Amino acid sequence: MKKILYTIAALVAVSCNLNQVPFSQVVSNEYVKDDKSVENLVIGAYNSVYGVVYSEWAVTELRSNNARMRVNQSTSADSKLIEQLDQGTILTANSWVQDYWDACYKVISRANSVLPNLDVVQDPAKKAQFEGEARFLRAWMYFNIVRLWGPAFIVTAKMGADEARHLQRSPEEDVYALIESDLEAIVDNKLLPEKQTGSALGRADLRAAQALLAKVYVTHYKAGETKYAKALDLLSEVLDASGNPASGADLVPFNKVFATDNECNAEIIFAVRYRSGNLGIGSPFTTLYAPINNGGNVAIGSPKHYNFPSDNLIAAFNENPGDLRKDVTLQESYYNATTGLIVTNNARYCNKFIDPNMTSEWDAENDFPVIRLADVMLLWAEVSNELNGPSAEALTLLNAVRERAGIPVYTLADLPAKYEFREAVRKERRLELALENQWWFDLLRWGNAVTTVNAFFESEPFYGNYDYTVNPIQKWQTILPVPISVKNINKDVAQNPGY
Amino acid sequence: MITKAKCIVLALAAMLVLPFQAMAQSRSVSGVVSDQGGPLIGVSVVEKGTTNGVSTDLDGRYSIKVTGSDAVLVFTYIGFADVEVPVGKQSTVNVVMEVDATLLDDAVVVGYGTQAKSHLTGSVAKIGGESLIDLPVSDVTTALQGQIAGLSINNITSEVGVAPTIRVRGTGSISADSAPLVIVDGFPEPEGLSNVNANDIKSIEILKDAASAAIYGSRAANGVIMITTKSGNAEKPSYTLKAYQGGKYAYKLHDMITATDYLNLQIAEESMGGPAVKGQDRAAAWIEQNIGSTDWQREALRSIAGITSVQFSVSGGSKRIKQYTSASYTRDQGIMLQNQVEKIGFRTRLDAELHPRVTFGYNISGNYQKWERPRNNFIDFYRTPSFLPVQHNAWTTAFTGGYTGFARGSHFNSISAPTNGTDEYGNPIWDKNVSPFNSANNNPKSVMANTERSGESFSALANAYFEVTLAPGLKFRTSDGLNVRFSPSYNYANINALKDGTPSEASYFSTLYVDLLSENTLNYDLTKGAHKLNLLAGFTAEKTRVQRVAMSASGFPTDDIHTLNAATVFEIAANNNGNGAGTGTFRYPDKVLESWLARATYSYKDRYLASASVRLDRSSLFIGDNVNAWFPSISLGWRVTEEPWMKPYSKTLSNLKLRASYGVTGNNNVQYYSALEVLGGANYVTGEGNGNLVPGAANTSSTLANSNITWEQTDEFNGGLDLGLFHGRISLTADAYYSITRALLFEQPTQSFTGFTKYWNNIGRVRNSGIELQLSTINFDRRKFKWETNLNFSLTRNKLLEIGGEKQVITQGERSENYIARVGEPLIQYYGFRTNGVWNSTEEINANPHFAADVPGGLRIVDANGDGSLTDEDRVTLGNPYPDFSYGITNTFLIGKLDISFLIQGVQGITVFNGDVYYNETHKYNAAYLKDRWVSADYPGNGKVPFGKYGYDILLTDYPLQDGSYVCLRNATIGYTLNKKDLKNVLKGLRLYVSGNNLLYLWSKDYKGINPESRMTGSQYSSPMISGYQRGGFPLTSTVTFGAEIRF
Repeated sequence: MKKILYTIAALVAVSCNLNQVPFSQVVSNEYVKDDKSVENLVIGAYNSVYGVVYSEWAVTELRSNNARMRVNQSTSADSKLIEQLDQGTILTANSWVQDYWDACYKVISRANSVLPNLDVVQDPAKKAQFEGEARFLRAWMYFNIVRLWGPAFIVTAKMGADEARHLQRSPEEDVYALIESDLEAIVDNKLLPEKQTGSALGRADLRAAQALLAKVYVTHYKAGETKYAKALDLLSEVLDASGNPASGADLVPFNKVFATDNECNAEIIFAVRYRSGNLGIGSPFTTLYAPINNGGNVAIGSPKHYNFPSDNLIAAFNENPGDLRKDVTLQESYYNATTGLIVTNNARYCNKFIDPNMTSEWDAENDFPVIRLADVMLLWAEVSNELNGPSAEALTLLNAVRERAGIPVYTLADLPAKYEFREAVRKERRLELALENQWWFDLLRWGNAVTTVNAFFESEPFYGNYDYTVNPIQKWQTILPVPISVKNINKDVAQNPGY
Repeated sequence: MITKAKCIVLALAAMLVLPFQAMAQSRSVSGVVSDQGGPLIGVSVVEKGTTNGVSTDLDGRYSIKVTGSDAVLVFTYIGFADVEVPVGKQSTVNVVMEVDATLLDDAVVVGYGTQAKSHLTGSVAKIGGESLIDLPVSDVTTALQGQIAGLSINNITSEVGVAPTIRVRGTGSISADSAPLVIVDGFPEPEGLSNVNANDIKSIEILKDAASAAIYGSRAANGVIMITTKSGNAEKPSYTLKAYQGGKYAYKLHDMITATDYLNLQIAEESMGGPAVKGQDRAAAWIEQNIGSTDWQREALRSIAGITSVQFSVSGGSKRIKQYTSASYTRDQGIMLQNQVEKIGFRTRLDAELHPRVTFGYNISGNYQKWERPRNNFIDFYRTPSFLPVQHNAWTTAFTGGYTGFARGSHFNSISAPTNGTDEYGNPIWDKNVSPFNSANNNPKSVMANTERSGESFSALANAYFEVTLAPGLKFRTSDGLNVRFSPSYNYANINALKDGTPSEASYFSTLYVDLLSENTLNYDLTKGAHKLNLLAGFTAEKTRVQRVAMSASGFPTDDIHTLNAATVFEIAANNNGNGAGTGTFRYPDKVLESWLARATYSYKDRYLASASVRLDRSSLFIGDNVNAWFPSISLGWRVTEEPWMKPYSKTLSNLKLRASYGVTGNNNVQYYSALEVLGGANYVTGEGNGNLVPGAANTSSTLANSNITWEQTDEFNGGLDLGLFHGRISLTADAYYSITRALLFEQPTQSFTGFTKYWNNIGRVRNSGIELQLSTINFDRRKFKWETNLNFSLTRNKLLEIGGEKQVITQGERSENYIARVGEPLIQYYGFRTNGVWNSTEEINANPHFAADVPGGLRIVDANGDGSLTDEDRVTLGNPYPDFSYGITNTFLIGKLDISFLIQGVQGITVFNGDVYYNETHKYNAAYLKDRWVSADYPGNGKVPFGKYGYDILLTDYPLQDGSYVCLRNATIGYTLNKKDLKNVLKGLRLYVSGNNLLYLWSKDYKGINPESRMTGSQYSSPMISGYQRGGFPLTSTVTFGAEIRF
């Protein structure tokens, strides 16, 4: 009898511990203890940026006149989503809009998870840098959100579900105030090193924050306002720190700007960095953009053929015969080694981020530039022209970009007045930065998105072959709808007008 | 530890003081009560007509004082026929009791014990194993379909090897997981019934009401299904060989039209003002005219699939040792190619009496299962147009410029076809650069040929028990064991298998599941006169461990080797590009559950019944104060027909029992980490050149941790009556229940600006109520003709009472379609835009509230709130996925040696969301969506069917909602039985039968699919907040089998 009871007691003892711990993951509230662990959270925040740029083309280039849907009434599962974004008839349930929304806020959430842990960091330089990086990422995301959606949910600390359920969107002014305070804190207090080097190459630096802040200023303010003018100073500092091309420094040849064997070159100020080799950090763009069914002739696997260049964009390149940027930016056909034929039908594709050496799908090498020198140069020229009209210095920068593209340079006589210069800079920005997710933001900034898109619908032969009429868009359609999931949780959240 | 040991001792002591001395009377009678196997312990011995009674001791002895010489002793024991003996002048009365076959059937297994059916106070349904064994299905769950009121079973896919969903008391039960707790011989089985062979089952009990289930505490809120396997008997060995062989076929396929038919439709529609015929459709029809058409649905299916089962068992033993052993083999093919399950099972059970006071036994089973499932969904087949051949032939090879082998949509891209009419000389004009089927996917037949998806499962359950009679009526039992399952699964795809350019890829997943369980109970039986008392006290401890290995790799240099050692590239776990599962080993925190339980069952004069139980559960899944939870229950019964004043009516009213119960059950089915925030790897790249991986950390889950979550608890009232008329010719069991689930546990969507998209929460209350009827009638009972009918009917209603202070919660499915949980209404409803036909013209659109995307031929959405514009505010509830009622009717005829039975089962008033609507091909080739469609303003069809997917997204409207009601002939069986005499003693028995499943299946005209039971259950559809969505389900399967059972 006793034996039995002892046996039972032993069995019971075996299984009594109710405090069970995970074996394959780390419990977060026990994690942060030193500089290294906070740095890991910073890297974790960078990691979430992958989710943002993944679908960014769909909410930017696709909505502009640079890219369009590839075929009409395709059987592809994504066709309806692409059609909506392409034609400006976006539903609140569009899952790509939802994905981009989720991804931006995820970065914000991870950045916010860094900030309360800064006190743990012993090394003051690191402490400043981690703060700067977290605030840079947060500001960048809010800048995307406010430009695409207008008012935003302001989240600056870890937020529980109950609080989130009742939160309302804050006006654009408040969002810009947050963005500016984050970036100004970095710039004013020099939280970030001026230029990242060595093993830190690829992390945000002061130049990136300055360039981003300049963009925020020129987007949010008008030419008469103080901060608009301040943008020019910021941009000058970025140019100086990057070996000012106006002073005659050579630019990286255009075909080497995006080359996988020339990453983080002098042109790149900030890029989302990828690494192939099946580490889970490969670039998805080769698979997203390479032509469908190319039989391995452009890229292996079964690419999606997204970010399909429009006839309109090709025509814009063709205005300047011999523009070296065209072939780098897009290809209109490819050679099929199996059949020995050149495939031209619906074969064009965005070529900027294609890695022909990719060995497994979604795992290319190409970095994705977010801010690069030519962008800053053209922005300097643009802002300078808006403030003071055409100048030799502005022209130098504009011409440097054209020179690199192998097309004729302008003289001041060609662009005598502010208007002509403005048009020239805008055309240049489009071609220089085509399919890099900048153009739609430029159109929004200049206020000509509606006219540009409607002219595009008129002129692009593709839309003429549609089963039904593609209707012109109105101003409200340039702003994305708040995803339906948000209103599903809290129906009192204000939807953007028109949706 | 000390407190626990103390508790055991206290419980023991409490029970030991309870036995008492019988009151002294005038004369003493003693004796021994035994059965064939030896003395019986705890037999109730009562002097008839008095409350004077005792029970037998460990040696079967009793001693009782009786009052007079005309005293009569009544001996009663569960499972045995009552014996009445007039004492007369005897001082010794020895009795041998006989097993009562009818009464034995009436012993019902309840949690941690058994109870006589006549004394049950809760709602427990029982089904004997014999009702399942003739059914030609390899899965026991499917065999239960339509047999029990309150048990709903849905064949969500016709694939074999995929368990149907099973729900007790309505699909409306709401929780993190709504699947009932399945207990096989005392062990919880997370995989349900799939490892149990129907032939081994002695009985299945379903503990439906909370009072019955409360003894299982925190896991019982969705009901408990208890399987008891067969045990041996004391007879000499008897052998049973049972085998069946059958064939299956698809009941119905989609009515898909050919590319030629579609072209003709297009031409007709163009003449009616519809869109111009497209070159791609002309080209498709032209190709088809040259090479003939392919019936793609048939390509997916076997014309006849086989099902084979052989089972051998031997049962027997001696007085003291009884054993049952069985071995079985089953092979079940799905009607789709590449779908098959093979099962090999072994089970042995032994019960040994080591000493009159000590019983020992074990129960060991081992199972091996191998399954194979196609990689493609059926929709891939019926989406493929008919002009596309499976394989290239000489004509297509020449036409496409050299392609051979499996044909692919992309081979026909950018072709030229003479489809542009004729020129002035009568020569055909060639249409250039047309793409008749613009898909990057390989044809599904070639996917099938180049992929494999299979798995195995090795499982073993070993359990031993030891039972000691400590004192008369007091038994201690410990039952300890383990349940282990190792289930690996394998995937392989050849190079270019899925699409042109996909690399060869393989994945391997395995799960190791180990469950250790110790159950220790004290059981005390006491009969004193008219009082009968049973006390149960117990302690159980359970530890569950889950460990997984996941490996995904690609780049196999050759497709000859499919194991991962040949791969060149392994995908890592921290892959954040949103594809692939990665490679790694994963171990979750062990789940520990320790519980204390107690129950008292009391009856007075077998007339007034009462039972009360309580369980304390402590779970490692929760944190802090939420660790403990109590689950009490109480139930009462009144056997009205036992009242003396009812005797005059006993000829008509043979049995009437009224029951009432109340109980609390819980649900702890939350995922790991739902209370705890954890970090995973989240890496980035920095550094010179191409950079290097830099390790990072982040909460990579999409679920926000919530440390406050606690048990979900359900309070349920159950009222019931058991009625027997005309000596049991008609018997009716009726139950009504009303339950409220509070602290509702589910994964709720949260605003993604928190960084997460969902979180676990206890946020509300749901009410479930319902009625269940089970009616059995013996319509004819002659020697050569017997006809019995069993009817069951259930009706369930649910209502959301509270949801975290919100008015509603909306959840999205894969096509962004919405499901709403709104307070005061059924728990889940479809939510979207109500439509009112289709837009007929641009003028009509412009004159009415509309969306920017609206075009003529698209669905016209109703401005539900009447504010003159269409916004998301115009969404309304559009019906729910719950049936109004469901039913099953079984008729059994015995005509001499012939038996015939058929089971009709049905579900009424259910709405399903048919996701086929999403596909463009559905609107081109599925006849059900083409009839009466809008073509032009002058030819609007019936004004209800949109043209293709024109206009507003039809998945967000009521258009995909269809009536999913059905009624079917679930099973029909004809059997012929010969007994020992017929067989001249060569064999003990022989039975031959033919059985058919799903021979007839009827559904609503409104329903456009081919299987109303089909459901999606993966990814977001595993959420209890979404229900009723189907897409691409395989066809229903009809089965005919021939079987034989030989006993010798």
